[in-house]
Amino acid sequence: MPVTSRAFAMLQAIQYEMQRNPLMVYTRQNSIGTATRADGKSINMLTEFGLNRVLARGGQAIDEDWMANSSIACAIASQAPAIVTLPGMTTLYPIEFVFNTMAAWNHISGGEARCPVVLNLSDGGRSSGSGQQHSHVGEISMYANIAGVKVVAPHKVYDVKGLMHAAIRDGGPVIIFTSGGEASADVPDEPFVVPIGKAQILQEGTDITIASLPPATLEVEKALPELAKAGIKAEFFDPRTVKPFDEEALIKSVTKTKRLLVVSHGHYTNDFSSHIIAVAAQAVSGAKFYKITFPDAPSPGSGPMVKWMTPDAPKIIEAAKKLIG
Amino acid sequence: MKVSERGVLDRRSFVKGMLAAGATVTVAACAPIVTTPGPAAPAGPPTIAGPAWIHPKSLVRAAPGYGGAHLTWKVGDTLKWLPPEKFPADEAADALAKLPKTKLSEMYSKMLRIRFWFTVWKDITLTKPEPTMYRGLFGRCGQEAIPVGVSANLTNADYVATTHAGDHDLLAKGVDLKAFAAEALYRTTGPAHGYGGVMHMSDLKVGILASEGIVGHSGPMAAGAAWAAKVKGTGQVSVAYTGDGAMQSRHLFNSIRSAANYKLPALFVLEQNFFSSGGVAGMLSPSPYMADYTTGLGIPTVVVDGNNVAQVYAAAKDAVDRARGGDGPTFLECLTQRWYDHSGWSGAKAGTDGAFSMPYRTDEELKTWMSREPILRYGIFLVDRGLSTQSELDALKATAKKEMDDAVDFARSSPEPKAEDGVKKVYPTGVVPATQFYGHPVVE
Repeated sequence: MPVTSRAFAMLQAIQYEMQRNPLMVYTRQNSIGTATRADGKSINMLTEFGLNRVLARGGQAIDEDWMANSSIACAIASQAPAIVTLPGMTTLYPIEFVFNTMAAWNHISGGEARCPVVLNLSDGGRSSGSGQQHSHVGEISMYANIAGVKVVAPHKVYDVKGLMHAAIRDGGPVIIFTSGGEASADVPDEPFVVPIGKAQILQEGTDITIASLPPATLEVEKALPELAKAGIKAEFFDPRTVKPFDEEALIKSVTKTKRLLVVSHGHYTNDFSSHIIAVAAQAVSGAKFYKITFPDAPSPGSGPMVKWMTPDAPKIIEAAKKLIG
Repeated sequence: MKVSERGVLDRRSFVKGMLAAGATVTVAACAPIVTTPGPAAPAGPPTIAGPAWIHPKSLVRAAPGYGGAHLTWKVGDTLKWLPPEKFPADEAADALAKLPKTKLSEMYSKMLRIRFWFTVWKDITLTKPEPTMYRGLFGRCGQEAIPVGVSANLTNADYVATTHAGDHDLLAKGVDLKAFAAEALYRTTGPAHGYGGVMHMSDLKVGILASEGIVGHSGPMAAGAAWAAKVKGTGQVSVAYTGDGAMQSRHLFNSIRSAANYKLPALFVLEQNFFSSGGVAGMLSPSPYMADYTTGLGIPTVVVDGNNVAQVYAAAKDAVDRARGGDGPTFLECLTQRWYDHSGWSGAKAGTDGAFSMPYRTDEELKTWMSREPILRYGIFLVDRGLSTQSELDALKATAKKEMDDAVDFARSSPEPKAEDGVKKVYPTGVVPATQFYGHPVVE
């Protein structure tokens, strides 16, 4: 299987679906939609599908509102999927139209007018020097609260591709956070679907369930070998879908381990980690729960500050040990 | 230096010239510098249709005798834009007169249907309100000519997006009157099955994309649908109706800008009734003409008497033809006046037309506008030109009234949706648990 980056996996899924439905459209800012795989295979959305379908003449207007709004309307008019990819720091830009129209439209129309939009956002992670407006993580929780959208956040590249196929085929509005998480992996060249609403266990264990969404998942992966060395059998729970959340799978895991640690790089208050804990706490009596997150502070530009504020592998290991006691 | 006919800088002659001037020239291998000829000089300012007294020719100065709008607006100032008693004998009137009589009658009936929609619901609400109905209906008597004139150029396949105050726009587009009445009472027989209400609904089979509650949303809705039309290549066009207040919205302006950039087949119709919700349009904006916002985009920008269905029809026809032909969007501002308050029936009485004692408008001002109302003037036009008789027009009025009464009966006798259906239709597939109950059951 070819080694595939997240960007290629995502684009390849979109390309496949667009080849089969001539009414599907795609737009993004700053680029026309290109990606090249390690083995040389490349995709160029604009040259393949043309300006009418890839509304990005060298990139779209620097107006993420317009990009999302027009895609939402195009999808309602044609009843065919429209895909929008927005860059990192603009994650919340289109939230009004998403909230009032994209999410609501199936319900508002009494089921008569679907809104098949895939909104591809970034909860991209932080790096030294980015600073407050370029270091957004955690908007997943804001979008998760909007009634009427499904929200997915794949960690594995395999799931990026499979969930993108699922999102396009869903027929309703799906928000997919595709950045952050595993950088590249062997992924089949052919299309496949990963079902929305199904979590997975990436590592089985009996002592503690560690649940995480990207980009925190990368730090959890780094912590797992150390935990194993310390004799802690951790179960790594990968939700994959934020809404509808796989409650059954989480409850099953926490019933087994009786300890749930949720690790998030979003900000503390009302982060999605709170909902994960609530789901398990309602169903599993006698368990212990904890969440470690980025604090309720904007993300500074200073690298050492960011590192200190991030729940990284050493902090995850310490928290797991303390929860186990 | 020689520049060849194709605009390519001739390197050889360039180098020769530099050497002759005593320069030391090192020529590296590179592609020729191509200077393409500049674009043709843009065409003159977009054509302004309609009487010259309606729109100033300059972007900067205010209308003659008017002064800076936001500084000097006084109650009563809408009368500066009062149209004449009759349609002027212009090209627009002649174009309308050429339409088949059945079409002219259909347009007249549509305007009546809209008129009765509001007056019948008004009378019901002010005497014995319907318990399931949202009381804040947006009474747009006086604005009938605008969507009827535009819709005369559209088919079911063309798209329309409007505001939550767009009942007249939806009726003109062709939503079924009985179903529409049912939706107003939130019954299952409405186009949205009682979920959305007339303020937010779709009716895709007659090309109604959406009515929406958020000011400015209809712009991107129509532009996005125009995008879909362009992809399909079917020659469909897409119309956004907005009020004057919507020009303050980033959504509307940005969609016009991008529609212009991509030559999307759209028509942006702004119903300028001078009052944006409870405020005054001329005080919310540096220019009283919302058309002044779009002339800089290089798209045709037209201002017409919105109470003259001939002018609206003719301007919309040009715009629709342009859009279908791939020449991109048009902005059409239609000046008019609404008889009632923005929402609700404050100042109105059952059995009488008009809402009086409004703080932003004098009673005399409204009565004057009502004497220049669109249905009256259209009727005069039809009779004057021998296209109809008064008794024919009276018969159409009686029919329209009966249709509205029948629609109300249909709505009242339609079933309400089941309460537990509220968690359905959230997604095309998948159910939402009823988390208001202990145990969060899934109710099928």
